[in-house]
Amino acid sequence: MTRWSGSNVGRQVDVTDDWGQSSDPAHAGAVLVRRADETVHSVLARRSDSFPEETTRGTNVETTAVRPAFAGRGQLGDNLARRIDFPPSAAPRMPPTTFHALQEWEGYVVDIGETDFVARVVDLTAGSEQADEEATIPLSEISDRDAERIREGSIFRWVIGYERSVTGTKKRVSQIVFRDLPAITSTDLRDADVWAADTARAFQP
Amino acid sequence: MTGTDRPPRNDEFEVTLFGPGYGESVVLHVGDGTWVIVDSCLDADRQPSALAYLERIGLDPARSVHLIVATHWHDDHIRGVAKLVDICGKAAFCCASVLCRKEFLAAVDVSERRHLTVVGSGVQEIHRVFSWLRTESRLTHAIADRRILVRNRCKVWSLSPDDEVFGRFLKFAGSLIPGAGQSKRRVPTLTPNEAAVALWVDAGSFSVLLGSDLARQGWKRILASRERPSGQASVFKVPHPDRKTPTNRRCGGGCWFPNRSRCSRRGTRAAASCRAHGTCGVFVPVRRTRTPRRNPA
Repeated sequence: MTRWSGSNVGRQVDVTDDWGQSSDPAHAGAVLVRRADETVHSVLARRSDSFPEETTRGTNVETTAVRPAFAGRGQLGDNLARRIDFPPSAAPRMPPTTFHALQEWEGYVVDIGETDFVARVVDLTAGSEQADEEATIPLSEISDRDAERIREGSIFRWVIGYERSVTGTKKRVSQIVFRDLPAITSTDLRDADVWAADTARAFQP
Repeated sequence: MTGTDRPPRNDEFEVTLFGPGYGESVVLHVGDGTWVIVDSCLDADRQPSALAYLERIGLDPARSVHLIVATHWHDDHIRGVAKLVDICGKAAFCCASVLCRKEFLAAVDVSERRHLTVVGSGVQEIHRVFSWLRTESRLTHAIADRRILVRNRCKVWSLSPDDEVFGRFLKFAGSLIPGAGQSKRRVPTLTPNEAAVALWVDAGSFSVLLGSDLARQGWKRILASRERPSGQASVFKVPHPDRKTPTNRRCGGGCWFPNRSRCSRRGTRAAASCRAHGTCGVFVPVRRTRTPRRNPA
């Protein structure tokens, strides 16, 4: 079994196999280093979709495991399996798009028309807890998925702000996202029924 | 117009309106130190305006308030009502009898048991009040043509909702209960609002008609009733404009004084005193109005 491993810090070759045990250690080491070098080059050269491979991407390391089909070419033994860890790409990460919220509301739908809907909104930016404002919002402002699901009483967040792209472009963004509140469960319904029955009984004149 | 800092005399009748728009909360002194609070709104300090007012004129709400009426569960009329019920421990709580039916209560509970949004809800307040009142005998049911308070010369009547609305409302309540697997949503408002409680306050020579948010259909039924108290209102608190009822928009809300073109300060006998809470906005009566038809009976 032969394994090569690499890290960000520097290339480290950790070799254990059964070939070098009966040879001169220095010679065996040279052979292993050469074979390792050949294998790396070979992998790089032959790396294509024709070879089955599994790739996982971590936060800073890409690991590629090559299956024994590689060894079938006679360069290495049939019983050889390898795992080669390549150092991460040196390409710099692109800075993410940043968003600066200027105003945020939470609201609920009170009426739905053909082209717009009416909502009462709470000014979260001002720390308000009362739906003091009423807004008429075009249905075109919301996603198609939300437009299909919108109902009277639906709750949403509405954010207006600036988005700065990777190229430095600044644009004004208005985003309405309908909230998916937890679904009603059969337990909720059963508990509500019990509470309602008890309360109604207590309130009987 | 700002209020004074002294309480009314025992023989004075006082109507005080609070609220940012149309007088969403009404505080009545019906004589002899008896106070009635109709609906609730919050002031800038997030306290019920009615409580702040009573405390400002040196009264103890826990002892002075005898009746709290929640005419309906719209947010602008019910914010802080749970606190009112809590503080005014001597007061009876009155709401439409149809709200106490199992069908509506189940819808309220399933929607508001785990409230997960910043947006408050009138139904949430109702749920809190009902949870408290289950163990207390402070609940009074309002229905058409029922006398809900008698205090010396003063009587308070509920004029709505009637039996016809009852059935429709229960059907609406049934539609509010979501099925298992459906996501939670806010309990929508009832439109048109026929289940609101309109009130008639009769203080002998002086009467007040409080319109709540009752829709036009509800008023038609009140006018058709032969059981309601008769008389001409000295003050009419106009219902809110209803978005879906264009005919109501021109009313604009507010308070109409059939016999006076302006509201008067407290101190004028048998006249309404229209006070505005400083932080809630100024309430101004807007015009004269027709008065409810006299009962032919």
